[in-house]
Amino acid sequence: MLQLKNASVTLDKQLILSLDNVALPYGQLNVLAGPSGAGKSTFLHTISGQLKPTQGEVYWKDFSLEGLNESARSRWRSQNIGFIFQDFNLIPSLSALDNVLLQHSFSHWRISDDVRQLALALLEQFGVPNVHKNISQFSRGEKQRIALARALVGHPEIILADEPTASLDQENADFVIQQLKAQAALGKFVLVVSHDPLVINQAAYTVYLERGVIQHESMDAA
Amino acid sequence: MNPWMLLKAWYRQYTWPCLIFIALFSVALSLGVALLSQERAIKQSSANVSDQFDLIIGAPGSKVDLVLDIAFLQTGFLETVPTHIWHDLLDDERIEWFAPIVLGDGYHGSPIVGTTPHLLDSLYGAKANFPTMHSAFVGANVDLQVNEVFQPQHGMLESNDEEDGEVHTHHVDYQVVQKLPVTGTPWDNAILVPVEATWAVHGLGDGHADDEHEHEHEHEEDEHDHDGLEHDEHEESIHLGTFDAHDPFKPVSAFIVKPNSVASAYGLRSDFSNSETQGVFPAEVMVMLYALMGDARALMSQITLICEALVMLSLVFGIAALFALFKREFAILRTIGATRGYLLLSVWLFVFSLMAVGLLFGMLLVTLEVQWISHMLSSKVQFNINATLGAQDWLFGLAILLVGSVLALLPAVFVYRVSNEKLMQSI
Repeated sequence: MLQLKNASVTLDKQLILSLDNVALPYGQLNVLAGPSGAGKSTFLHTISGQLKPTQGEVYWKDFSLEGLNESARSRWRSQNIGFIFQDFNLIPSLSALDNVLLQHSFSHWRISDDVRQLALALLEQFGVPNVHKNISQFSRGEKQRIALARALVGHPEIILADEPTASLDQENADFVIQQLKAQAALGKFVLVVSHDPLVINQAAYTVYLERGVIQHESMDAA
Repeated sequence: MNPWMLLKAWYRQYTWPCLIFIALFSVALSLGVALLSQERAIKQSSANVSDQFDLIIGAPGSKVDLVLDIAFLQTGFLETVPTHIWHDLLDDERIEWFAPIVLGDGYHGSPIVGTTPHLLDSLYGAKANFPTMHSAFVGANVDLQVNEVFQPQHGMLESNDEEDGEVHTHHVDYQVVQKLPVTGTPWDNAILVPVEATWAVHGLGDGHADDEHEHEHEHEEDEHDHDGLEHDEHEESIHLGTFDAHDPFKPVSAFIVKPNSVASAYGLRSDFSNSETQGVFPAEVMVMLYALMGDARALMSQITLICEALVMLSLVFGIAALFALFKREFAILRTIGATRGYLLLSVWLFVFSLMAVGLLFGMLLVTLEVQWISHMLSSKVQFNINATLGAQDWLFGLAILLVGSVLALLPAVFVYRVSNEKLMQSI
């Protein structure tokens, strides 16, 4: 369970996020919805430890990030969180394979064969044709699949996705959602920030955020 | 952590800025090192020239002028040495040999030096004598070939342009008997003739007692033409380059003296430093000049180092500006787990690696530059300058790299210090 207790974030003397009590479970597709400027990205940055809440604490399965310094939080993030972004945020001058392996080089001198094999397997599983090609040579759908492989290669317990389907066609958007649901089904924590009704409709739990405050929450009736 | 993958990405991403950085750094470094090595080479080469002469005895005046005029054959004006000095030198047991130097004439910019065979042996290793009064030995760079005949010009003019009306050609024919080997000194540009000829050309007789009356008779016959060396009988009757105390010596520009010991050298210098003459160790004069240049060199080294540092600083700021444009990329890297330390190391290694490659290219470039600059300088100063890279040049390069490694921290720290809040706003 992800829990935020009386957490608030103030940036440039402006209250961006104010959350009394949020609890999101592992093992299901959680969606964070809301208009632009509602504080969704700040929410993601806060729960991933990139921003420290001005007040309150973030707990992951009763583990608090509060006591960790910035480097430790970076390491924790590298080991525990897989990120997916709307614009993929891949390194354009690296190959698909190198992009998937990059995160591993933050904490390891050598990329092990196991990790390399896993990366290759994920890229193959996601239908990425030539893993040694530069990112710029891939289509948008392929880029998001590569980003998905990058997010999953470290076996993270937590997957955070920021508008992962916003720039994709229907087919690729469906693929991404199915993969995220599959990860949730493995018992991982999956949170997707999205406006996309397609995503919201498939969510098990949706939190609506507006002006930094949760307006309401809804569970999938199904 | 292993930043190589990120470095690889940046090298590819910023290929042109990287190449420009390396090119600017290597050119700036190579020019700095080349200048310093040339300065050292000029000093070494000029020392090699002056080292050929143990002691020069000339008329009182500037020691520097005396050394430049005699050792480097510069076209200055020297007072002549009183004739009785010949006797003093002939009688002095501390002298292994000595040779007179008479300057004043030239041919197409090459100085004609009246002297004796000792100098041929000493400077060129040519164990030869002047076969006739008209014979000339020419340095390797003189545009005259064996058996070629030429007429000397009064004064050491750069050209034979008679239209200016100032060139006076002596009506005497010298014939080249030998081309001398290369010495890499200004003496490669010299034409050596018997000292007797230079006197005779100027109407002073030949300096030998045996034919004095005959010579005087000849002189009376042609008062307006001082260039008369017409009598073969006369030439055959004297022993060129050999003098004794009875000869009526004529003025010379200076004497090159080879003392038989170090103690003799100092003694001779002391004895011939008086109101009529001065004894000069060319090496000592050069050391004095180098001491003056030494201060300039230290200053030049410092200025070069500062210039290099400024070049590096501007390049480093260029890189920093480049990274500032890619703040989003750093935000992404931080988001997916890169620590500040990882980014600091990556950026530092990126800039440092460019400098290291620039250093290697710079040192390769400098080996070409020193040859080219040496060639250019050699043609200007008329003696060979062979600059080579020494350990101190590599140390200078390493010092630059050391300074660069510190400066490379600037963009790294710049990236390190950007707060998470600022970075997250750029995603």
